[in-house]
Amino acid sequence: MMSYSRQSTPLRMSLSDNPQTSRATVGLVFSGLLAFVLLATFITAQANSERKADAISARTDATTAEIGERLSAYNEVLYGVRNDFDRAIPLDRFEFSRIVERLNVDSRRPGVQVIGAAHVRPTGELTEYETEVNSMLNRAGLNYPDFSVYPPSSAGEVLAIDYIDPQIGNEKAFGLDFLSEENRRSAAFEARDTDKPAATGPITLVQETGEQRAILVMLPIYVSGAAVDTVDQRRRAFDGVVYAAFRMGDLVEGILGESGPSSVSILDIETGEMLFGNHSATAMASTSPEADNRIGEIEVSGRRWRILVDDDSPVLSAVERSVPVATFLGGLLTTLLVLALALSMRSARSRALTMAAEISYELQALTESTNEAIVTIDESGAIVSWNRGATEIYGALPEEALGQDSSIFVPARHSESFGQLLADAVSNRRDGTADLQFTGTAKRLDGAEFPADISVSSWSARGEQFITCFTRDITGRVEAEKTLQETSEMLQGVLRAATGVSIVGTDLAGTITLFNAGAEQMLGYCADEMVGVNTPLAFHDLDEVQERAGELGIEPGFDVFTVAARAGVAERRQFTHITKDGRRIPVELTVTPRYCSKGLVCGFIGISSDITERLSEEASQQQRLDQEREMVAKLTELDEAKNDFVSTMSHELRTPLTSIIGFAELLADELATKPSPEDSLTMIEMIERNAHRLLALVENLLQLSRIESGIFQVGRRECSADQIVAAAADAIAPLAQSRGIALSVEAATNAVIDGDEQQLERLFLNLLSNAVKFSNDGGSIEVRASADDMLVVTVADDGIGIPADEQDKLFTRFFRSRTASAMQIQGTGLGLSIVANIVEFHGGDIQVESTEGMGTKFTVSIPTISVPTGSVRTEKARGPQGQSARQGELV
Amino acid sequence: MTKVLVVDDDNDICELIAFKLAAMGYEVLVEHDGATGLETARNSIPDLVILDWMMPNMTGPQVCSQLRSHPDLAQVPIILLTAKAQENDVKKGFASGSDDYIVKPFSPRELATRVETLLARSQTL
Repeated sequence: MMSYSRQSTPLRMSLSDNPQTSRATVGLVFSGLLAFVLLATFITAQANSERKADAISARTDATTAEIGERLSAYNEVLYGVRNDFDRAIPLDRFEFSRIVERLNVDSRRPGVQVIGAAHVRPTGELTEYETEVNSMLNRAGLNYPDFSVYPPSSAGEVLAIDYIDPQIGNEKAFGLDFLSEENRRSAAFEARDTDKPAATGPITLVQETGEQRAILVMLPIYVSGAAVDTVDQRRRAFDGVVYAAFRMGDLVEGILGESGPSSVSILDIETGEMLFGNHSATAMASTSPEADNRIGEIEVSGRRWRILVDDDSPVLSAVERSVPVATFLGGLLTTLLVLALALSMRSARSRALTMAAEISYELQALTESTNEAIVTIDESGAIVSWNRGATEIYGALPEEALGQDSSIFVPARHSESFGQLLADAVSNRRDGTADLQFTGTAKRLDGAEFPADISVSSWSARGEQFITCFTRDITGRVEAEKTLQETSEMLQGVLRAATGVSIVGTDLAGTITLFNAGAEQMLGYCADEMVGVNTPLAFHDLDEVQERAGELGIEPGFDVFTVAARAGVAERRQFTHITKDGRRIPVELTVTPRYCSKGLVCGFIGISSDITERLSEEASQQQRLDQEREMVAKLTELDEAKNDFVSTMSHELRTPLTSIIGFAELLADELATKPSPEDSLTMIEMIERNAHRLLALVENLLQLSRIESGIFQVGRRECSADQIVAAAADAIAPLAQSRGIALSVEAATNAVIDGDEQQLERLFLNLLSNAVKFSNDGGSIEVRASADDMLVVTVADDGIGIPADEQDKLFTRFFRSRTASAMQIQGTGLGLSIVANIVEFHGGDIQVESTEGMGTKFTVSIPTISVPTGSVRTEKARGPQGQSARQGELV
Repeated sequence: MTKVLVVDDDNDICELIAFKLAAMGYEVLVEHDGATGLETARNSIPDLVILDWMMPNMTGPQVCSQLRSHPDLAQVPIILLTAKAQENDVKKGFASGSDDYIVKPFSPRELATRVETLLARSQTL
């Protein structure tokens, strides 16, 4: 169905155009050649080869130099591979393969059988090591053989091949322990100690299937960053080797070309073993460059090789001896061969036809198997061949297409340019210019258009021009490109629009590859000065990085950010960014891995958002919370004080009531039975006293409620300070007396105060009442007053004192000392609070000094209106009698 | 003569009780704080003890439980006489070992009746 007959025909026709060689022509050529041979023989006979010896020597030198140069070029390859290992991150095997692939070892560096690496591991950790390598291999999905270190080692460590490329054909070497064999071990140690490439002596590769000898060249890998200046340091830092294996035959052939190997022999001087060549080791060992000009020596990665280049002596010598004869015989032979060739032309022609047919079938098979549309048209534009691909792409069966004008498969608007294209193709062919290739639009039989890659080439047969078009439907590719373009544009848009967050992309090593507008805004750097130049460390707080590195137990550096991301996990953490102008910005940084097409992590994206506001919000929230807590604590304290007050108050109120009620009842009983005036009087006094106590309590409460409601009204007038103090002292005297407390008052200031006499008296009464309450029986209380523009009254006792931590709470309402509670000293916790209020109202001040167990001294200062000259002392001196009631000791 | 020990830090109340009980023919011992009250009880082994709650040095319930641990005083009737009127306080008071609990202010007549009843019961035992 697929017509191809029209293409095989032109081929046959073109071959059959060759002219036949006539017998006469053959004769003429034969005579000519014979004459030439005779002439050449004559000239050659004159030739001289007296400089032959020099030539041999030069050839040896050149060969030796070539081998040396090539091998040192291979060393550079090893250095290159080593650089890739010389990083903190373990090299994955996929990347290793790519590196080796890039070196193009097979084609550019023939003779290198394999490039690999081996690492040192303690023998005790082999199982973990093997598991680790195998799991990495599985993850990478590489076609490595199973990793297993061999042969079994009795040494403390192994140096096993754990990277190898290519793997195919070299599977056997994977896992081989270099230390297991003398030759490899000593080369590895030599490399380790010298930090230079070291070659082994002649060895046979474990994967060798033929009979070639080989060498390994090893270059040490040291632990990243370690010092390697001395042999000891190198031994400590030794981590393994990268190595290349050379099969000597392939190597020599690669260097010298196919003719080289037959003339070269190489001996490893140290071991006395042959690396390559036909000469015996004994013969090679017994000679030297001085003794034989065919011999050269070179140093190859720490070893010396002796190279013998044969001078092809048997052939050359024969020529030398009988060049003319040889020239004649050779020429004659050539002439006869030409004759024979001419005579065999006919059979050659028929063989060519068979070949052409074969080629034709091959071409047909190829044409039919491809998915491309392959369409051939003739000069008139009519379609003359139509393959299966064309049927699919253009949606037309061969019978629908063959013979049709090709323009029906071109959109009408392009038909003119298509015509021009065909014309160009034809003229290009004539000019010998290359085929035309372009991307355009094609049309299916049903009229649907599609984007297509089209290449056009023209050819001629039997004087006719044909044009073959190769068409590939690229709808899928175009759509994919469009999607990619859209995605990319969208991504760019997102990056530009995301001005609130900083988005920074890096490669594996940390070099910045992306720095969006948000990052520019936040950090003040522009993308140009960051991308490809800096790492994110440039805008991080390095102390913080150091600290985080400490937490992670790694070296401080870029890795601090990527530990989780390398494991494929996004990580969010707070860091501090430092802007170009030195501002510090607290951020939340999310680092995610960036994958390349093969599913490997090939970089990172870090997104940071400024959390300054959030942090300050959090801080002020915390502050508010603290304030609230403090307030609650205060309220709780106050509440407790109030509860305490209620309970105390209830007790305090009940006690005098108990006496009042009890005595009233008792009095009633007494009067009812046997009236006894004496007892009755005592009882009535008791009732009265307790009623007063009750009244005092109620007054205190009223005072408190007045203070609380803020309507503390005072009747102010000028009053005598001395009288006030004396009145208070008089009031407390009986109580002090009853407990044997000595009350000493010295108050003769004549000071006048603008104030409320009642309130001021209460002030001192409360102080004195406290002094008595907290004095031990038989103690003493001293009241002293002095005045200038301030009246200063001190009330001091030698009682139980006030603990230091309670002194600042003394004047708080409801506050009661622990000691007072413990000793069951009665009180409401109101006295001192009332005192403080009165002092404050009079524009004065009150201070307390107290030592626990030693006593307490209150000092009240109140502004005076006037102080007559000669106050305290004069008074005292002038009239001790008049003052005795106030100053005398009241016991 | 039947001995009653009254321990209260308020002198007037002590006097009130003493008045009433003396009139009824009891011998009344008075102490003004818990510690001395306990001392007197141990020394003179009264037939009944009346204890205030809130007193310097030792509280009523503390004195009460101390009395109960003394061999000669374990059976002596004890009345707690206190301004503490809450249910919880009453429970605490009885838990310390008292036989009766009277809330201030109280009627001396009622107190007298309770004293007589407790004494009568303790003597029949």
